[in-house]
Amino acid sequence: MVAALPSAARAAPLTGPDTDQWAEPTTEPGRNANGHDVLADDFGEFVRAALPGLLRYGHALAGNPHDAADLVQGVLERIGARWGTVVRRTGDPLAYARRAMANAHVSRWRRVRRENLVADIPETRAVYQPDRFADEPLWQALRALPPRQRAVIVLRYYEDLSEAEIARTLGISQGTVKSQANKAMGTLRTRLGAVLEGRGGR
Amino acid sequence: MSTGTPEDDEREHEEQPALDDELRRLFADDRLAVPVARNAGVAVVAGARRRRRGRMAMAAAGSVLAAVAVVSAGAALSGIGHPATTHVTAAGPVLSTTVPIATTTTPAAAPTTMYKPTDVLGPFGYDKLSLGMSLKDVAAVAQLRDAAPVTSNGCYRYTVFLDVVTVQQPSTVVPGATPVTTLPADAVLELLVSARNGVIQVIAGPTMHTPEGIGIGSSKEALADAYPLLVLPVRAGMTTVPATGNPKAIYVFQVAGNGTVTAFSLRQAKSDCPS
Repeated sequence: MVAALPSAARAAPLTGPDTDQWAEPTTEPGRNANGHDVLADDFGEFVRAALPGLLRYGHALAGNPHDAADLVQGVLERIGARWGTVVRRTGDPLAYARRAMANAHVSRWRRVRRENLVADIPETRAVYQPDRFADEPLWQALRALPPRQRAVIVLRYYEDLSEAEIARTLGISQGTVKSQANKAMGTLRTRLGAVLEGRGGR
Repeated sequence: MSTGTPEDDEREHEEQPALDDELRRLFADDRLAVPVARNAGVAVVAGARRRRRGRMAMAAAGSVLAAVAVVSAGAALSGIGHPATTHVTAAGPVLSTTVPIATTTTPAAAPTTMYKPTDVLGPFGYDKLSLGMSLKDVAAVAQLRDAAPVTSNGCYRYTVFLDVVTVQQPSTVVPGATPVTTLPADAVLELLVSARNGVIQVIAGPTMHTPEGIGIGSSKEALADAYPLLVLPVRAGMTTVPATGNPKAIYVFQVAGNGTVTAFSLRQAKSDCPS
């Protein structure tokens, strides 16, 4: 089960030569020496348990359910492709997945659209666009932020990460985190102010 | 570039603490929930399996490429007749412009050993050379002749050969320059060492790769697959990712405009040397 994964991972030593990695590719991808299908079983179980939370998080990050599905699928596939290593060496695949999503969101090279994770959402974005947050100026303002600023805000207020943790997650300096957060907060305030003054104005 | 200093912004920040609460409220909102498709799990597992196959084929091709890199770099450089201490053209670009990557026909049943472990620049370092090691300790595992200062910070840069550490000519050391793709063909790696914090950075040689299988010549797709935590540069440039297993280290990758890795290194996350 999912809950057992982190502790199992923690038992593995993180230091010293990791000889396991040389042995990982076996007769068939995703299948270990006993024929146990690690991908379908362990990873599949993880995916089923983690999907709702990750999609929700992706929604906050990306600003709409479609891009959320994109993010989640891309990241989970990458993690699944090296599932054994991720579990063994990160100790917490869920946290790893969330941080990977923040990065993927910022990264511009991942733009292949995937729609099949999300149920019951009309195909065209135009239909969906006037969305559940139409009455939420803060959400609209947040959505207009550049990806990195938005990621910093989400990591800070959704994930409750410290500045240092955000810096490490996104691979930027703490100074950059600070300046991006300040810029984002400034923009949000300005946009919110404009909305509240002239209701209907964007 | 930016208007106003962080300090200014912070003052402004404290005037309206309510925005923090608003953001937390928004992120706790039920409307953020996204319904999950019934077969979503299956789709993801299938996608992961597909990627794993692709990655393994790529990795098998990668080990072949590494061998090619040595040969072609050697051939390209053999006419120069440089001593160990001269600045020479790079192995990385030679590889990235001459070797096609995705032409492998490696079957899904991949070889059981993809690399020799000794070629791995792991999260703590390479072979007996680790991050944080003092100059003295480095000298104990490799011959050390002299040092060329990189900056006024007391940072020195060394080129490491098979079991000999030698020094670059001061003229080849550009303060603040990214230490990439200037390895002589027969060099193993380069080290950036600071007086205070020991080995700051281990710059990989042409045959080395990370535990995740990324080396010089890897594609940006392989990079993204190997490091979900990585933020890829928009075009060419440097990017970093935490080194799994060592919270004090990061990998630094130099990605060229054509999307291949031209250099990489392992660095202390907090470095007092420019890189």
